[in-house]
Amino acid sequence: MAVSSLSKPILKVENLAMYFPLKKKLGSRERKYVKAVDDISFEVQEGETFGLVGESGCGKTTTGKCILRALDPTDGKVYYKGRDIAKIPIKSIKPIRRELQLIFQDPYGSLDPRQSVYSILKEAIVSDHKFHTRKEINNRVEELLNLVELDPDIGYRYPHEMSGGQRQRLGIARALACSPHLLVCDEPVSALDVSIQAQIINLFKELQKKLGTTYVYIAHDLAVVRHIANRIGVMYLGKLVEVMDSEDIYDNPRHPYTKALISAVPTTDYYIEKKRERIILKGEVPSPINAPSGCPFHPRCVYATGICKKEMPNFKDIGKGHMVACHNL
Amino acid sequence: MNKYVAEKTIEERKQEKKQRSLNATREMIRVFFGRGLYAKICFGIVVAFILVAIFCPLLTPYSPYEQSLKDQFQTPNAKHWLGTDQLGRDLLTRLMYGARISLVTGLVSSLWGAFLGVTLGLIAGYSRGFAQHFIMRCVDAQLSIPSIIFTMILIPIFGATILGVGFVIGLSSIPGYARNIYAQVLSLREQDYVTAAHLVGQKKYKILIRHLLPNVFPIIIISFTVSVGAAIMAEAGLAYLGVGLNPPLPAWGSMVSEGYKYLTIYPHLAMYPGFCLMLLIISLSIVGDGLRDALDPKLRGKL
Ligand SMILES: Nc1ncnc2c1ncn2[C@@H]1O[C@H](COP(=O)(O)OP(=O)(O)OP(=O)(O)O)[C@@H](O)[C@H]1O
Ligand code: SF4
Ligand SMILES: [Mg+2]
Repeated sequence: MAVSSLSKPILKVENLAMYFPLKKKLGSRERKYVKAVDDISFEVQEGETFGLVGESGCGKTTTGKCILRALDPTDGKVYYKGRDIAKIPIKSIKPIRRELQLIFQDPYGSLDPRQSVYSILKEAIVSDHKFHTRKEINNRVEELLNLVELDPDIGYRYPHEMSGGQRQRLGIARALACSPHLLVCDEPVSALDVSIQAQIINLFKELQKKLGTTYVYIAHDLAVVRHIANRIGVMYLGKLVEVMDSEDIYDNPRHPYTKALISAVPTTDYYIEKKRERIILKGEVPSPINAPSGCPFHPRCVYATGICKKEMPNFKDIGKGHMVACHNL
Repeated sequence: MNKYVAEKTIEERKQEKKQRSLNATREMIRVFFGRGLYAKICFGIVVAFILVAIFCPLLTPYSPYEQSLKDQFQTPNAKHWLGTDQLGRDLLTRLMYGARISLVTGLVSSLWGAFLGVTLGLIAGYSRGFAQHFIMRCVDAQLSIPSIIFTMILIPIFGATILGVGFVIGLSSIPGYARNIYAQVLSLREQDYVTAAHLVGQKKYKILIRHLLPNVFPIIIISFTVSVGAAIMAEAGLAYLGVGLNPPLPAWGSMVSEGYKYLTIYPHLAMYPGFCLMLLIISLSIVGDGLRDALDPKLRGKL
């Protein structure tokens, strides 16, 4: 797209891979790996939201953590503001540590059950190891709570005394305490009630407007991603199969897997719903330990041909920044 | 701009905070004593033993050492409530001083063992690589030596005094703590809140102290009460075997072993200290259970 080619990307991922070694079986010589993320590349522009969708277990969380260097990727490059941070020693990441933050999939697990709201936020504020007066800290805590629309009186509560939505707001406030430039939101609403999901998503949008933070928004809900993201990447079994502008995801999906995903989303419009072509995926998602050869999607793909079994399709641009990995395009 | 302008004054907030911490304390006490009659009785027993241990010189007119051969082997009577032993010493007095010895060795050894064991467990669990393997292999090595043999060899070196025995029993309790804490830390360090603390730039040792230590605290408490009981038992066992605290010190273990000789004629000589030992150890472990629940914020209000 025109905009993306003009501005400089804040994040550029090249051939990122993360393999988790499995325990060797007795007697077997070769070590097996879970290829959680396998050779993916994408760019995120400053101030944009990049949506990452895919089924459970396809490697979204792992991708997110590798970008932030919460995990050490096996291979590939992660350029953050032009500097590759994938392989540099963990010490030299310190100056930018706080610019890269994560919102967790499970808000409860991300909060220390023994810390009060105030102490969680205070820790995040003072962890920049600069000097803060008590008053500064208190003001900042109040400011953060206001930012995520939590009542300041909640300061003395503990995570188990809060609702799911409040916990996630607190998680967001903690991330914001570091003034992040890049925020990875890992399915931030999937653990919440539907009624609260919308509130949190709107909070994310508002915060982006106010603070100009760049988001990588991970989800498996297409409608949500379509609503919040500028560009969307579709993952399947550790691989990125399609990257496109978010308008295109309903109007012009090209990869067979994306099409199948779209066809699974019901719409509220009766006539469209009647005409909707439903592609039912056959078979199970293969395990990332024994990923199929060639195109990872071929065992379930209705368009698969001979070459699909043998060769991994290239990730190619089919115009206007729309990237697809499929032999049949 | 702000949607939630603070409506409460600072005074009100302070008041509220006080109220909250008061409520929390009350809640903790409620959970602790809310475990039924059993727990209350056991708590009472432990407190009674502690009070007796502290105030025994005031509670009895006799000395635990003063012999009187004409008063040998008395059965319970008005002067000597529980009777006297083979040397004419007042049994109740000796039991009271024995409680002092048991509790002091139990506490000294457990505090010392817990301090070292928890530190090693935390370090081993949180550091990857050399420290982790080195510490855990040392712990395994010590576990492979039966603790009774371990203590019997070391006590002559450090001296058969209360401090010496406490020190050695403490050493023998390190592996138990270390393994317990190690296993806990291994699972805790994968928790999202530890990752979150890393991401906000918190220092490693601070994560250890501020997140891991508080979250293993209930485990420490329960291991501690269990290990006080175990240490008391170990001390009694050593005294019984004659390698620990020696007579005339009124250690329960040596009282059992001395009284044992007269078991058929005067069974109370061995039975009283044995009974005290049993009562104290059972009560301690039940109190430990209650403490663990009271200290766990997640369990609070759910029992
Ligand atoms: N620390 C780890 N060790 C071994 N395997 C792992 C580890 N973390 C993730 N995996 C594996 O990597 C794969 C991808 O996991 P990941 O959590 O990234 O998926 P996800 O897309 O976030 O799924 P979900 O939507 O369920 O959160 C899974 O098969 C998972 O079992
Ligand atoms: S490469 Fe072949 S198998 Fe893979 S998505 Fe395209 S058509 Fe289907
Ligand atoms: Mg995930």
